[in-house]
Amino acid sequence: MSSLRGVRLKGVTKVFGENIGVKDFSLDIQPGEFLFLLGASGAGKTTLLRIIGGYEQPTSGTIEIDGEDVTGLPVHRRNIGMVFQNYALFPHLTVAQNIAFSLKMRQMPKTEIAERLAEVLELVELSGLEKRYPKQLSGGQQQRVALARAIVFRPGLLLLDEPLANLDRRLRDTMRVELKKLQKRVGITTIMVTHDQEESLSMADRIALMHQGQLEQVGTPTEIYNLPASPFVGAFIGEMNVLRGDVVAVSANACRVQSAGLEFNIPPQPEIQVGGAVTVCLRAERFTLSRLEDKTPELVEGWNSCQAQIEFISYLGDATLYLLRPQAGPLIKVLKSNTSGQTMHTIGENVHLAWPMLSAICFVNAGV
Amino acid sequence: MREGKYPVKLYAPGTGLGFKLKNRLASLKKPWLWLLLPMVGLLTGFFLIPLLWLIRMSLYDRPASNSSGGSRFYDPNSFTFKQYGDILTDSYYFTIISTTFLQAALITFVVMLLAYPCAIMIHRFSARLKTTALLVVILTKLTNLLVLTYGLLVLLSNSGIINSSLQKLGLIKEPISMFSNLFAVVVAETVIIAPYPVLIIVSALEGQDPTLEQAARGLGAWPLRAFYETSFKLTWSATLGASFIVFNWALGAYIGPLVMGNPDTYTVAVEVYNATFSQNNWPLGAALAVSNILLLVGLLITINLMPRLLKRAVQIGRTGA
Repeated sequence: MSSLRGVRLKGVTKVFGENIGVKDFSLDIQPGEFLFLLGASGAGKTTLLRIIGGYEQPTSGTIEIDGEDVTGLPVHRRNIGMVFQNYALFPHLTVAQNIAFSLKMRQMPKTEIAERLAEVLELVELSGLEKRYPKQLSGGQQQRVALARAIVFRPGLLLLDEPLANLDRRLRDTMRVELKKLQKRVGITTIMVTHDQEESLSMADRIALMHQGQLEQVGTPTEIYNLPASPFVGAFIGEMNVLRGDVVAVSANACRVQSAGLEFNIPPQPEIQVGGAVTVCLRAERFTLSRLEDKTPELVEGWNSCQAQIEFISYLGDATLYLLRPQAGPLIKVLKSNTSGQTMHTIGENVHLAWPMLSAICFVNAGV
Repeated sequence: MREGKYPVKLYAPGTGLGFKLKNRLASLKKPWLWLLLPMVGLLTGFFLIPLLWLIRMSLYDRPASNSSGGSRFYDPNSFTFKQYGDILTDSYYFTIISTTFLQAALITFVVMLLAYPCAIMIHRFSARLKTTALLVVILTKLTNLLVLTYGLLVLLSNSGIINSSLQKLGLIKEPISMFSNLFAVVVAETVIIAPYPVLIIVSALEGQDPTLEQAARGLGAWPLRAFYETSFKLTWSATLGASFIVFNWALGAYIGPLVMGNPDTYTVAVEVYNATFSQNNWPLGAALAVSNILLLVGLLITINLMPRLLKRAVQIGRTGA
C-alpha cells in the first residue's frame, strides 16, 4: 500500500439539528501535503476533521482517499492516524503499549511490533521512555507519544486536532519545527486543525481558512497573507485595518475613496466606479509614522498621508502596536518593528501617518 | 509522592489489604480528618460495640429454659464454644450456609448480568435521557422494601397478572409456579439490589474520557474491542467493587428468601431470626451471624490475595523453582 495518498472532499456538509457545522466543503489535498484547517472556534474545522476521520458522518457529500470513497467506512477500517487535542493516551497502558495498540489490533507478529516500535520511538525521540505511563510524562512527551501512536501503523492520512494547543509557548515553538520536519520526513499527507494563525503560516504547505462552516480561501501562507480573497480572510490573519468607504473619484492612476471622513487613494480596478462602495484592507505593518516637527519627507507619488493622534501604544517586544485617530476617519492600527535607532512616540502625540497606495487590498462591496 | 504510579489507582481503595501505616498516621495531622469523626462515632457506637457484644454472646449458652424471666439473652456462667461446635457438626447449618453463599453468587451473577449492559446504555444516552433513566433506576429504591416484595409476590403468584394473562392468551393451561421457589427469590433480590451496581458503574463510566474509545477505534479496534480495551478495562475495579457490594447484599438477603422462597432457599439471616425469636436461642443466632461474617471476610481476603498468589505461582512455574 502506498504511503502517499491524495484526499478529495466533495460538498461535505454536516447539519446538527438546526445548526450548520460544515457547509458544502470541497477541497483536493495533494499527497504528502501539510494542509491546515484554520478558523475561529466554531468555524467547523474540528467537525470537518472528525468527518474525514470517520468519527462523524456527514449529512451529505463524499470523502475520497486515494480515489476510494470512504464516506460510509467505519472509523476502525479507515486506516487514518489521529492526534486528539487532549492526546487521548490510554492511561492504563505504557508508552510502548499505547504506541503498539494499533499494531496489536492488526495482529502483527511480536517481532515486527518491536521493530516498528523502536523505529518510531527513535523518530519522535522517546527511546528509553517505553515503560512509563502517560501520567509520568511531560506535555511535550505526551504529545510525541500521541504522534507516534498515530503514525506507527503507517496510515494513509494523518489528522491533527490542535495538537500544540496544550503546550506552553516555548515548547510549542519547538514542536512546530519538529512536527513540520517529521511530517516531511515521513511524507504523510497531513491535515491539522488550528485557530492559531501564526502556527498555520509557519508550518503549512497550504491553508484552508474556514468561516461559519464554509471554505473562505485556500492557498499557500503567502497567498493567504498577501492576497486575501475576502476582507474576512484579510482581517483574520495578521493585524489588518478594514475600512469601508465610498468611491468619490476615479482616474487612470488611482481611485479616491472616502471612509468616515478620511480620504485616500487606492489602485484603480476596472470594477471600481464613482459612487460604489468598497472595503479597503490595509496591513498594519505597511504604515510609516513620523513626528510632525520632523521635516515631512517629500512623499513619493503613490503614497497616502494624513495627520493622526496616537491614542494607545502596546509594546510587544519585537514590535510596537499603535492605535491612531486621524483628524477624520476610523481608528487605524499601525505595527512598527522595534529597531535600535527608532523614534519613540508617546500617547497623545500628533504624527504624520503615511502608506503606499499599492499596499491597499480592495474589495467592491457586492449589493450592499 | 504517589503521583505517577498509575496502576496503583486501578485498585479501588479498600480492596488492597496492605497499606502503609506510617502514611496513615502522618495523615492524622490533617485537620479535615476530623470530618470523619461523626461517622466513626456512629459506627463505633452502633456497629462495632454491638458486634463485639454479639461475638461475646455467641460464646455462651442459652439460659436454662426454666430460669425465670425472658429478659436474659444468655447464661453468663456458661462460657462455651458449643454454638460453633453445633454449627460445624450439624449438616443442617452447613446446608444453610452453603445455600446462602451459592444463592448470593447466583444473585450476584444475575444482577451484574443485568446491571452492566444497563449501565453502558445509560452512559451512552443523551444528557436528558440519562437523567430520566437514572431517576427510574433510583425510583425503585423509593418503594418500601416489603411493599415491593409483596408486589412481586402478587405479580408472580398462580393467580397473578403474568399467569392469568398467559392463561387468557391460551399459551398455558395450568399456572406456572413462579413463587415460593429459587426463581422468585432471585427475581426479588435482583429487583432490590440491581440499582446499586447500575449507579456505581454509570458513575465510573462517566468519569472516563470519551475520546479514549474513539482513539482506540481510530487505531483499528472494532467497536466492541475498543470498548473492552478502554472503558471496560478502566472501570474494571469499579465493576469488581460493585460486584462485592452486590454479593455482600445478597449474602444478607432476608425478605426475598422469606417472602418469595421456601425453606430450601432460607438464608443465614432467616435462620438467625428463627434461632433468636422462634427458638429463643440468642447465642446460637449470634454464632450464626458471626460465622457468616467470618466466612465473608475469609472469602474477600482469598479473592484479594488470589491475583498475587496466582502471579507468584506463575513466576515460580517460569523459573522452574
